[in-house]
Amino acid sequence: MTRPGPSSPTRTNRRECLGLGLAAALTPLLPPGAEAKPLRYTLAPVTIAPGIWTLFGAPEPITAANGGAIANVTILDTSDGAVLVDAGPSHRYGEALKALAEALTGKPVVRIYLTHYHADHVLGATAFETGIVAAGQDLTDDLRRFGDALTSGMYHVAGDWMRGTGIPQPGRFMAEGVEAVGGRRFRILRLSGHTREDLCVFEESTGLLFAGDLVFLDRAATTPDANLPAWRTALTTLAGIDHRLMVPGHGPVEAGRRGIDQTRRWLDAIETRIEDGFRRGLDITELMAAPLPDWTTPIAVAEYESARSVMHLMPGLEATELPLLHRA
Amino acid sequence: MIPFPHHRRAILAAAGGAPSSSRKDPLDSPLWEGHARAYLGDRAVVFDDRVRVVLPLVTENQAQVPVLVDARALGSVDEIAVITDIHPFPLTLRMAMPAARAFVAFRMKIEQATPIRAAVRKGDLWHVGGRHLDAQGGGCSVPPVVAKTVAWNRIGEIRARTWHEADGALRLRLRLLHPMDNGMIANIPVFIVETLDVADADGAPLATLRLSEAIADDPTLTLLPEARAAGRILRVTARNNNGGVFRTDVPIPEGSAPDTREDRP
Repeated sequence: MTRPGPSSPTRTNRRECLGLGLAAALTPLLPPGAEAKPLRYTLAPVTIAPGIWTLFGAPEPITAANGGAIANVTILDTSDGAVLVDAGPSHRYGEALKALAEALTGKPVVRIYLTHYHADHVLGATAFETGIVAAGQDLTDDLRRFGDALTSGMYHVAGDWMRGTGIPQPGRFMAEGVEAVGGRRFRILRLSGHTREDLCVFEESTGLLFAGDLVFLDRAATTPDANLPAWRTALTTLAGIDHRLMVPGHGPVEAGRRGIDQTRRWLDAIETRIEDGFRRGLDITELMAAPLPDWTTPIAVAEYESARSVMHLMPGLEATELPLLHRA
Repeated sequence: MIPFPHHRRAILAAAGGAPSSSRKDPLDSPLWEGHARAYLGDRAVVFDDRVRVVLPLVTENQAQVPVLVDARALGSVDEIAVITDIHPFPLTLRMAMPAARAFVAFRMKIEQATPIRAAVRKGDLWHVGGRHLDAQGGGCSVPPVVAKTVAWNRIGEIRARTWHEADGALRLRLRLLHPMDNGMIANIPVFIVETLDVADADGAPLATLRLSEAIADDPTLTLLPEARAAGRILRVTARNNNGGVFRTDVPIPEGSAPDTREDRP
């Protein structure tokens, strides 16, 4: 992955002008507006518990307007320093996050837990020293394999917000079990379903459960890497944890199990709709236009995500459920 | 990819209600005229909103882009040619339809954002409709070749089913397990399904398709053949560029076919 450099005309001009002296090379030849206006994320921390702040993602798809800041990111103060759950969508977000965490806690960031490999949660990690970035083995492998595709996809949809963003290389293995950091106890659970490895964090001293993208609330779940039976099993596991507050990957922080229940209901609804359309003989494009159940109306980006889910899940039905008439 | 201004204009024009029929390309693509000359011959061309090309809101997988062409509003037609302007294989698919509705759904591979058109021939006139597909540019965004696994011992496997449409046609959905290697990757020769024919029980052709390298792996199609009286099956025959032939008979369910043997003279 190459980082965007200066545009080639500028580079040529600079090189030609080096003989004239550095100042001449840099200033007079840059036309007004040669550099885009610097984009800056406005991070609005919301206190969800004493010493714990969540930055709520926009309930939208990733666009060039929101810079990919659609996922929740949480900052926890500890006596040793700040701990983050997820790192946001870009290097620039990561830098703003780092400054905010230091300002809120008055301490450096000492640990970042990455929940899963999707771009809106992990790419901000490049703003931090790799030694404090903790992730599962599958996440680390997936970033190595798909990191280029993730970042180029993000450059395409989010544009200049992504400037300087590379592929994070987590330096710490995030194992199941409890890690104590500065008076807080972080229990790591290794689940799957939204992706092949979803790490949830349960902060035992306050009872906060960080579900990553296994739980979406009032925002439609995404399924590009989903395994629905595993996802349902993971939701059952999460429902068994006696938590005080649930922090979903996307959506509001609440007590109770509404996020778990709504995510399960959404997964059931899209699966039923896709199976029903498949049985009626609809192709992907026809099924994407079919109506959704009424209860999904208040859920953000329901149509967009349900259309994506048809593209993710229909091919599997075609490959296994259409009658096999001719064997090779 | 850098969004080209003419694409934006084209989208605005389409959204703002382009004329329903015109001779000027509503997608304003510089490649269109050459493609039209190459693939549509000397016959006249008219842009016509009755030819619908339906594309997804978002390109989720560039190797499996679902495309649907629906020109049933034109009544019975002779031929459909799908043309992708910015593509190494611009003539995506060609379909003659002695007895099928003006409809086809399939999946294709794309490399970058491009107009995708359907030219539908009715007699001596091509009716053309199309949409612009947004996607990342550059081959680097295409999923890595190494990720592909081919079940060599199952090549040619056909899964298919038919339904009765409300308007009397049949709906055929079909998936043929076969790579569509386009020959543009080093050391992987062209290996594609070139033709796919649908006939009635007597062998009379209903729809004949010529597929290009642009069609996605494991060609997956939806067609609407006429419910001919001959028998309770559709005969499907596909041939690849190595001469391999794959055949199957797809049963037609009993029931609601209005076009029955008794209705025929």
